[in-house]
Amino acid sequence: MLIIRNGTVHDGKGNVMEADVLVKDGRISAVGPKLDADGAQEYDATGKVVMPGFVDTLNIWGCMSPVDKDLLEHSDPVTPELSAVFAFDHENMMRQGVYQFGVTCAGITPSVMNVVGGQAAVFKTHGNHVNQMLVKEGAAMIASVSAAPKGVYGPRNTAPMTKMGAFALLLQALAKAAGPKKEDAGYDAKSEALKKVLDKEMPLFVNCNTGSEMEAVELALKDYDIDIVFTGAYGAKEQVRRSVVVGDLTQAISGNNEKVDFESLKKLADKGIDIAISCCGDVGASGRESLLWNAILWYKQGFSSGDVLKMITSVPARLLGVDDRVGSIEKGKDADIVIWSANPLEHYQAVAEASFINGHNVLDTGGKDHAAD
Amino acid sequence: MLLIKDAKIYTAAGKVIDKGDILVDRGKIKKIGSGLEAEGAKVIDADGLVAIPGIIDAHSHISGFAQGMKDQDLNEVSGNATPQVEAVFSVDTGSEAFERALQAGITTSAIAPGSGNVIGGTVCAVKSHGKNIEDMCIKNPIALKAALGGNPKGVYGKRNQLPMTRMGIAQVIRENMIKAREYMDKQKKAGDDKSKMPPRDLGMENLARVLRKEISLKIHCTQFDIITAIRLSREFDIDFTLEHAWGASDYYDDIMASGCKGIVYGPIGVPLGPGERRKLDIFSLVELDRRGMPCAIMTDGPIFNPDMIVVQAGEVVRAGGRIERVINMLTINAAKIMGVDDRIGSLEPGKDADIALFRGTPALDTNARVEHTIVNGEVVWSRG
Repeated sequence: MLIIRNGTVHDGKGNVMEADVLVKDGRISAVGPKLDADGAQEYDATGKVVMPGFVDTLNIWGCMSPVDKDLLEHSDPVTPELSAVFAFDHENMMRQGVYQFGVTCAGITPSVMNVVGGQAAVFKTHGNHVNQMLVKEGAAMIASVSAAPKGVYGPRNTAPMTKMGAFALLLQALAKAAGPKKEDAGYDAKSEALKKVLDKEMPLFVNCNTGSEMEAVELALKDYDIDIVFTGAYGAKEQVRRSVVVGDLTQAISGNNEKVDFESLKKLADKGIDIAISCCGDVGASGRESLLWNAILWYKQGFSSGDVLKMITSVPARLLGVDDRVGSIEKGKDADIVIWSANPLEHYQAVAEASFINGHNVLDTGGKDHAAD
Repeated sequence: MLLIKDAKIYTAAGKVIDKGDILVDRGKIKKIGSGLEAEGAKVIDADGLVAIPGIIDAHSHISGFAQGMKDQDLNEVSGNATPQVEAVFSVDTGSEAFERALQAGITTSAIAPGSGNVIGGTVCAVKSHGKNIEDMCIKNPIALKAALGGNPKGVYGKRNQLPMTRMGIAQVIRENMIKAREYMDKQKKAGDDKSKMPPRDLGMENLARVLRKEISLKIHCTQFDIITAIRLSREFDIDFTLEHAWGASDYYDDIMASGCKGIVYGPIGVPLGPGERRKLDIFSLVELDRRGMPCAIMTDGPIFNPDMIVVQAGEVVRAGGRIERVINMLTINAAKIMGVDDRIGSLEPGKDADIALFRGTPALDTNARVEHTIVNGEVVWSRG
């Protein structure tokens, strides 16, 4: 048992309270003032900020290195049958040390350079075994109608060489999956995977960078009753009706992220549309500081720190379908809790003093030194 | 004339003034004090604002690398060493990148050749605002660019050409330096005898500038390549700066003993991996600064967007850096490293009136935003 005493608790859903957090068997068993906790190990959080561990919706941590590019199965532009689980190297994830900057959970996604890349999986960011770190597989189907797929297949003179080519591949694959299965058809891995999207067991995350790409997705999929989330989403305008995951703002190489219209996004947020912030961009990959930096850039644009916190905790957890376990400080959730010396969204001096994952302080267990090996 | 009233002023010259005025005349800072008056001057009421010297990005490629990196006008990868090329000719003064730099409070950038070549060409100091390149470029050359490690290997290795290895990279630098020495010897021996003078070689001339310590070698290096940079610089007795410098915390003593003229650190925020990416340690700037090494921070633009110079400075604060010291890293230290501190980098009488006015303290308050950017005494960007 662990009791985190007297902290200012931000629950990740917009509530802030002076409270204790009681942890039993790796889960939060109570949140409230002056909790009884006989025999529990005590963490004094007086004067500290207690936040849920951050959740990045889309990332590549654990699966990509200069030698192993295990998320990029570019042998075929439509690969819904693939799962990111098989690309995950826990040592690689540990090396990133993202828990030092408050990130305790991340959606790991196959390539957005395929029209349909495959299935995302959600992992904790600290651990020594893939199964122990895995929170959910098949969390989302990753698709892309941005310029990325034609950048890979175009030079090979194979489809898709255009955006219309990408849409045709996506629609053909969905149509096949939606069609009646002939008895003698045999195993069709792609259709079986996409059926989960058609049955709403899994959302379709569509990488779109511009507003017109999002419009085209609405037009193309208007006859399908499926859960769609726009990712990348730099061109999101107020007419967007879907949840959006806005990508990295720190890197300037592509220029797509220079076109973000924050005033439109404020209106979207006011309408109650789910907005998540991700640090995975359309070009480079991100480091341990990147999710916090992106959150800071949104705060700098005038979003309240409370709203920004939701965008990196409870909202991404909901979009990935893991909100039963992570993304907020509430009874019954995994004890993924970070203790900050100050609000990290507001002050650069803020330092993560403890980072609990499943109730264990991973900064206390050699975690901090790991990245420096 | 321009009069900025009642700002909190970080001079980057050893003083922080809680509330003060800056008087600007003919593009230069005329006076800093309190209760200043100037008849006919345009007045900026800066009560509640923070004035710092215009931010200087000591390592950038903006306007020379197009977005998408499709147009790489700063990587002349036709040969592993191209000391004869000058970045100043690849600067697109019409690029939107300069407007974005002004929005972030960046008033001067060191625009450098890329790291595709072992020796990439000369580096220039360019203001973010001006009529044309002659107006914007305040000094050229300020350094010669060199690159160790994976980037030149990546370019030439694929072609099965030198350098395919780190051994090859070191040898490319040594050969060029030795040839430049011979070139200089021939010039010296020829004296006034024009018939004995070697044919003028622009690359050799630029290398000779380095060997004469007129400019420094700006060396892209990380991790164990830092020691290669130090070793080569010692062999040829040249001035040098360490650029990117990931892993510097492993080599504090080596760096301090090396005569290194400065560290330009960044960008961080990339995944870690073996080799060049094994350690990202921007916290090393706190210790190197304490020991007296001039430290600055880069955007490496367009790798990072211009706001990221302040965000990374915030990480130095998080690592324990004092705000005055960190603001120096964004301003005067960069100017010293670039050899332009006679004109820019601090708020002192006689210097160019390049000033960034923030609401909030940059690198301390995460929501600090630029309100006005002033270049040569002219307000060239304002919010709203």
